[in-house]
Amino acid sequence: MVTVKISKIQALMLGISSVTVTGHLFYIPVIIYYAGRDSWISLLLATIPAILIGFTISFLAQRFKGQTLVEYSQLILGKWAGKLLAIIFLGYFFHEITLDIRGFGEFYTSAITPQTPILIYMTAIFIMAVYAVRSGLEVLARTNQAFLLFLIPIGVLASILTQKDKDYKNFLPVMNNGWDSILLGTLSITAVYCSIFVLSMILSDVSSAKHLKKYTVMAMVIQTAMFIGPVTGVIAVFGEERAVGMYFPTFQLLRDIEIGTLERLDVIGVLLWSLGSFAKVSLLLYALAVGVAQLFKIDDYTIFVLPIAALIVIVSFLNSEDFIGIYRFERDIYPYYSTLVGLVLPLILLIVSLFRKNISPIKGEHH
Amino acid sequence: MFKKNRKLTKQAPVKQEAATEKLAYDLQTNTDEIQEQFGKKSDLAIRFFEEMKMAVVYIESLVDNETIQTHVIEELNNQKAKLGATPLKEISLSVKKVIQIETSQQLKEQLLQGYTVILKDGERIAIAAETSGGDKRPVSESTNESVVRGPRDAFNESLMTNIGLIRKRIHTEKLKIYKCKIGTLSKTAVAILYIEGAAKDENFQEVKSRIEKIEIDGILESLYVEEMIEDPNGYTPFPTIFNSERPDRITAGLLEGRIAILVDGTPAALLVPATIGLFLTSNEDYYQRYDFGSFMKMLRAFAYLLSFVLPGFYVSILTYHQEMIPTPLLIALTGQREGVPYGVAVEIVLMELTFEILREASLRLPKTIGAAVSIVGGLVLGQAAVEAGLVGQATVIVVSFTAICAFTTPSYNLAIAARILRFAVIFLCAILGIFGLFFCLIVLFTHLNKLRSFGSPFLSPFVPYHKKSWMDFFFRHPWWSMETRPNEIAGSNQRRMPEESNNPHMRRRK
Repeated sequence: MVTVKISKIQALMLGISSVTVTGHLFYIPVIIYYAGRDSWISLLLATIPAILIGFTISFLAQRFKGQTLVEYSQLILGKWAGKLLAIIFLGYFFHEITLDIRGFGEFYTSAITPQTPILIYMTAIFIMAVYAVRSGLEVLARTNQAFLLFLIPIGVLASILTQKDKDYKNFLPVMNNGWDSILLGTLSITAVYCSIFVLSMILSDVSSAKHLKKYTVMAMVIQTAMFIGPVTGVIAVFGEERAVGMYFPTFQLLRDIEIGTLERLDVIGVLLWSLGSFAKVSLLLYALAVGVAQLFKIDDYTIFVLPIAALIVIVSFLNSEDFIGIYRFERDIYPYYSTLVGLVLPLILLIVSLFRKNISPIKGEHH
Repeated sequence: MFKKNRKLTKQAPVKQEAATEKLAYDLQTNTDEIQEQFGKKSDLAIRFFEEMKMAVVYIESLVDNETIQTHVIEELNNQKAKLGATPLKEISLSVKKVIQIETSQQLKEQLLQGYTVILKDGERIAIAAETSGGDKRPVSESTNESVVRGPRDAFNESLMTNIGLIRKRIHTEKLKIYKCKIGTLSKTAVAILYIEGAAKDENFQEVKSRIEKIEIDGILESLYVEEMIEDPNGYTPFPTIFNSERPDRITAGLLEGRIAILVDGTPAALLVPATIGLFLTSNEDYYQRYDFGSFMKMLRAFAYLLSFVLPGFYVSILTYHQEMIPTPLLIALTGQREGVPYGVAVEIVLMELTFEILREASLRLPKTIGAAVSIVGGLVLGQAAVEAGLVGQATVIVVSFTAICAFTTPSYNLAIAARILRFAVIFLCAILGIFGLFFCLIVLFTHLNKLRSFGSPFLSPFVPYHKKSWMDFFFRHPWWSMETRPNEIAGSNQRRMPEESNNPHMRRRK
């Protein structure tokens, strides 16, 4: 088989578009719930864990060149403990997609076409994702690369066009709720960033791992910068009290855009989140399929793509009965759970790998 | 199904039977055998020269009568006296080419290429003189790809003329031509052209091996070759091999490092590897000023996108997202559609189908009646449909504008893809609203990313991103700045202009 290689920038672009776009849609309410009008301070503080995440991913990828998370966790912790950890990570990715597509479907059925069954949207997004994933990582990376270049200007434009409604007095008084709420806000933002850990499944296919740390940390900083617009925008326009009660505040923001006689530009929102969800779902699906294939030592990952996709749709319904349940989960449990799996466990992996200097390859592995 | 076919072509060709059967000594035996094989009452002509014990054999429909009369028969008659004793090999004839034949298989092949074969009693060889002729269309102006400024000539059906048209544009021995014959029955001549150094050698080897693997009885058009040598991309409505009937277009491709495939009997020449930029480019972009050329290029790309999405966009906006339309316009639109019984999607599909039928009708009809069809279709049918309340006026506007957008696509087979996929877009937009449109675009874009043409990604230089090749993608930079060939295609010699130049006119690029 032809070895597929993607560039560093393509890989990081996949990470950026998958985290930012779904983050903007679903997690902004959680951040605002915790940090309120001080969200921007939380966001600034979150740069530190963001850099830590970026560093962890790139450090592990550079130390174990050409190996994915599933492979090197077995190298570091031994066969069985490593496999267990790999299963935990894959489970995390799996759960992540079920949340995302549920949120995606709920977004459409509650905000745009209330009468269409949610299953239609889930199926649609999986048709796109399965097709892309089966076409290979190279196609996935290239598709996303072009989309992201298209998304960023639209995002910036949207933020400029909402300027007229913004009232920055809404940010006052600063730090009225004390440090606790700010730190909780930081934790919830960190939790969103943690899902970028999925990159450790694809960084093994990067053509050159030179300066990977620098690039990854840069990507994390860019990502933080991309959160500034929506987080501050929502509070500046709606104020803290109204913003907390909304499920899709950023979408509401876009709806208020007016350009001359053109108004209600829902289409922009649909475009942004279709592309973003496509990027995230297909990236995670790819990581899952490859991870499962590597766990069972099967060469061709494509056979897993469709069954996993079907399973994800089913589980996404089991997650919760309605969107309120999902939102509560994201608010109460997700910040701790995601940070634990996406940041603490990888850090442990990194520290253990530092102490075990002479790591021997597993028998039967050829690299 | 497609995969199976591809595998079949890989098998070794079946050996020709009796390929080594030699000619007989006896003249009568040889001529009888030929006569028997071609049939007694065919266009085969045999003329005996009793005194010299010689025979001249040719196929009447393939030869140039005048050449045979003046250069073969007359010359043989003039040399009557000494010919009886001279061996065949030493006979000199004033024709372009004379070859020696040893087997009866060879003899048949040469006869079928329009050669005149001369046989002599008592010799086991024959000689064949090149006398091929027959009628061919003169080189005329291109009717399908017309330009305001630029060369007018177009390929015709003769391979040699076509190669000549290219040779006359590139006077270098580096223009390599590789000729072969495909088709077990048709024996169609196919030529592969490339410029050594400019084109990648592995590309040429790939083209050659794919062409030589073709097994089919006959090739009548270059599309036969095109479909058989395409990359195994799975199903795709998009063309991954470019075709044109303009020699300047093909020559420009050769200079970029692409490889041309010319097939005898058709004016459509192929160009590989083909990327999307090639299909959206008209050669006039290079013959007009660069600012205008760039504008046209971008306009055309935009129009191509519109020809895809416009009907679908209209359907989704009017069915699901009315709030996006400014209120006065919305009132006007719904007012027009008041009497229309169907949904917007049905209306659009109805009109699109009508348009496709009209278009096909005007294409098949003789040119003089074609104009009548467009009048009936465009004016009478469109006007009447609106007045009868079958469709709204806006629908007619959208459908006709889409059609006009589609006409701007310079490549006919790229436009075909949009024509087919437009219906899928309309269908999905009718079901899913604007998300259906984005769904289509995402799947389509992923699909285009998957496509490859002889190893080159179809969407390059867009993705994968090659900065230098962007000079000739959405924009057409001035000629003095386009120093390199597109790097995803070209071979070792990447530069079109020397690196250092003392020429003051060239220096302004620095």
